[in-house]
Amino acid sequence: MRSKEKNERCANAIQKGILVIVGLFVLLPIYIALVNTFKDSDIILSDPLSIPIPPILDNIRAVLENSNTDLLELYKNSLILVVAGTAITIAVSSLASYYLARVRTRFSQMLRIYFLVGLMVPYVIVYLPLCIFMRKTGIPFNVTSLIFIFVSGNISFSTYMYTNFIRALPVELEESASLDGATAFQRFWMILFPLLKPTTATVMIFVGLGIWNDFQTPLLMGNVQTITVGIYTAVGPYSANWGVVFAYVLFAAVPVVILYLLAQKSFVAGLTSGALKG
Amino acid sequence: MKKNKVSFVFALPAFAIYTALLVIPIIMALGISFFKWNGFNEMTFVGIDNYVSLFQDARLGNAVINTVIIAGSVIIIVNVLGLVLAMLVNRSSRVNNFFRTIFFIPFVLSAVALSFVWKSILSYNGVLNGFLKTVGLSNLVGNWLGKRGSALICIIIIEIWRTLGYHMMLYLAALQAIPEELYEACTMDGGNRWDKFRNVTLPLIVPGMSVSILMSIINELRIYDVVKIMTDGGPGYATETIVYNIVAQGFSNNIVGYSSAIAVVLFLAIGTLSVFVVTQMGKREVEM
Amino acid sequence: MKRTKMTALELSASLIASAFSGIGVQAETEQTTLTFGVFVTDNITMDIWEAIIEPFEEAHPEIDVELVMASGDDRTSFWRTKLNSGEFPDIVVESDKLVTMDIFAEVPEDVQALFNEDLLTEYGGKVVQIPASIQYKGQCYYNKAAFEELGLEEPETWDDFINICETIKEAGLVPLMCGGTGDTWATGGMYWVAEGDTQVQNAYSDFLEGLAEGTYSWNNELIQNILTTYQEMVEAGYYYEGGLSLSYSQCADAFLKGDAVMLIDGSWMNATLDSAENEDFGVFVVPTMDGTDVAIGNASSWAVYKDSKNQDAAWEFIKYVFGEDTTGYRGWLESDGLFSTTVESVTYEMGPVTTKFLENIEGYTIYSELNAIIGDYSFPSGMSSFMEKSFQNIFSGADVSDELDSWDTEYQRLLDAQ
Repeated sequence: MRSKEKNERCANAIQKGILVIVGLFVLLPIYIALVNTFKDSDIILSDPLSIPIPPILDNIRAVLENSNTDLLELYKNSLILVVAGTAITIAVSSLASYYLARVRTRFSQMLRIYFLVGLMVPYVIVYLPLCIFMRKTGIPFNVTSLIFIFVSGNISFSTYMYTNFIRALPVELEESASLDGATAFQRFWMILFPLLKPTTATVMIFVGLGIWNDFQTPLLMGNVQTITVGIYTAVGPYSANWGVVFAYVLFAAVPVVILYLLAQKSFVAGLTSGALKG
Repeated sequence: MKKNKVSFVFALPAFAIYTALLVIPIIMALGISFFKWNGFNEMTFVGIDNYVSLFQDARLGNAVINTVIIAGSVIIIVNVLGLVLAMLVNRSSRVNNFFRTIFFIPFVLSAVALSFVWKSILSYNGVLNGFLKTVGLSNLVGNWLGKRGSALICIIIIEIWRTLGYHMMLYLAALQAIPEELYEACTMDGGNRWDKFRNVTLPLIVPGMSVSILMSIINELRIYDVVKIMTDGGPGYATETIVYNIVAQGFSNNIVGYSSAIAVVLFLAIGTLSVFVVTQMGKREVEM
Repeated sequence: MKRTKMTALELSASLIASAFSGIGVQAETEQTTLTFGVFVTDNITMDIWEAIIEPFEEAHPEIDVELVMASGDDRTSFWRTKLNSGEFPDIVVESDKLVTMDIFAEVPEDVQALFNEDLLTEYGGKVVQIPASIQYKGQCYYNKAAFEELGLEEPETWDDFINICETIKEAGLVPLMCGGTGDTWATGGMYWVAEGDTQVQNAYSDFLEGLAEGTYSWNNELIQNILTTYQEMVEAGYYYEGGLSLSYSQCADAFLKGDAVMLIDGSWMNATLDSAENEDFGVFVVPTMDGTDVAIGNASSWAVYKDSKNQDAAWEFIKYVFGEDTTGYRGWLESDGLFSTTVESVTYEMGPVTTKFLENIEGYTIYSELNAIIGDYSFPSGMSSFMEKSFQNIFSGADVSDELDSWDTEYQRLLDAQ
């Protein structure tokens, strides 16, 4: 009896130990960035792990006062792209998935696979031809086009998520509604869409994150300065001044991390709701 | 029973956007790959020359080897460790929820942000070496990012750091779908931890595992952002990956036709690998 | 589209009218927006560019100048992408890298007249860019205090230079600093400028033509010697160990902090030192192995896009900046240690380091870098980066002859793809 208990406790300790070690591995770089933003750059290297008391705000001030970057403009652009891009993606993907999940024809099967292709494509293959295509057809290189470009890149993932999820829902609810004379769209909007909440949450987070963090596409497709693009360009000259580099990283990452921490409950729910079954 | 009629119109907007902005450019890229072109002047048709050359390109070969090494290491470690962590945090508790939350944070950061942070740590004048010097271990100070072998290992470590939480979440989702009764039944049959794992857990997470492995393959074979910012493919070509090569050839060297050909082959490789993984895992799927 | 064409016409009409009447530009025209493609660095900040365009906008209220900043570290790629998306700016700086794509408008005579005739270059038989600034590279900055302590003096010959390195090394210090991450040029680029660009052009008068025709190759005795010496210097421990993991900013910073005694760099370092009134550093020309008095300087050009809809406004802008009111121009030159190219020299107060820098090369023959030569046989796109990576390989121990063979193969391949 005793040795079994001992084994149990030993196993528990090892388990907790693994979690703590991995936790430290994960958090250490973040801790370093956070803590050293508030230190004078010169002492960062000699004393990277201590907590600065009192915190120095020079680095943050350097970011705010940098004439080359207009933070508000950057945040605004990022926000527009994320909100619009995510909303449109959710709208068109959920509608499309309704068709893909509920109509069992050869055509819809092939369409499903057609949409999946985008998941595997190395996006770099698209940049140049897309530029040429836009030039030939007169599509302008501005924020609006960029939004739709982001949507096109995310349709694969979203339709995959939604289609799987809808497939798992019983058809009866919609069928009873159709008996009551509801149109297809009404069935979708009133009955189905509310049930898709967990998947919508997951899609919203993955797609939103992807758009916020992308630093190549906004640059190449319209010279739109998002916060991520902004810090990439701004850090160059300061790359010797670690304190300022960390300050920039904070400005780019903190909004996202805070949002994540607030939303993580529904996010985990979305992931574990079975939307990811095969 | 009226049939649940949903017309194709529902899928039209998505279809239109997807086709116009993604599929057509891909087909164009395919077309371009059969030409010699510098992106601006006239195009010269060269048939499959580009495809033949790419198999003889030593620099590309090096990039492929680097990519395979990175991808292979990351895929294995992240899937094994991801599953282990998911099992450890499976039961709902305050402590476990805390760990779940923090493990996922690296995935939320942009490649730009995390690369700058890791650069500050691994650079020769960075935090790691600084720390080693302070604690008196100066002889361990190394040029982590500036030497061939260690640079590649650094990239691998950073990729693992970045994606571990994501894969843990995927496995967590799969684990949570397994009903408790199956584990209890196993215990009643006299099974221990290992039996539970082998006979209950493993077979039932096959779909989740296939998604996780698939995603890690797709993501790691396309790795670019982190490499570009951390080491710029260097020192020399020590950390150059396939996509980095495509960008260099296409955008810096202006050899657009050739770089499109490389991209097409990469795309086909990822596609084939994905189909292979899905079908293999599909065979092992067990209905609950 | 018709509108802006009208504006350009109206603008030129009013210019002609004003030329006759002697009054300033007063046309009732619509707002023209000129896009001006630039880039920023530690030295050249947005403020510098603003200082160039603001006086012009005040003098010409109907023209708005919008700055388009090149992002990322490969500016040439950035401009090429802009070209593909049909968004190329009306005026662009560093046009030398793009001139072989034949996208620039011919420079009007009156604009050409503003510049030093010797510096005007032609492409395809026409003058399509204006030389905006001159930049010198390949001199060695050094820590005065360290030199004094070790009893060292500025070297006259290559052997002197090597002896200096050896002395510093034996004293337990690091002789030379270099960079390498992101700024690939910061590894071997400056050494090559000091020893390669110089000696190769001394030995061969039309090296690039010869390369293209096949009469010369990169893998020859001279270049082998140059690069083997480089490798030997690295192996002797003359270079900072962590150099390859540092960006240029970091390596410059490390040098200024004293992590190494010397840094081979370019004239932008003059600006950094003089603007901070830093008296701790001196500068000398790196002696060439063949003993000649040769130095490297390039002219950097600006050009107007040939398909620009605002060409007249663009030329107005250029005439203003380089002729009518050169205050902004001066600010720009001073910020980065550049020198003027105009017939009427634009000078700024030069600090001690800049003065010494120029003194060092008085009487020297000036060549431009091999990769900056404009003409029928210019460097194909991508060769510079290839060489820079190769220097890193050599730094890490690769076989010099093999590397040079790869230069020949790559050069032909890139030429072929042009």
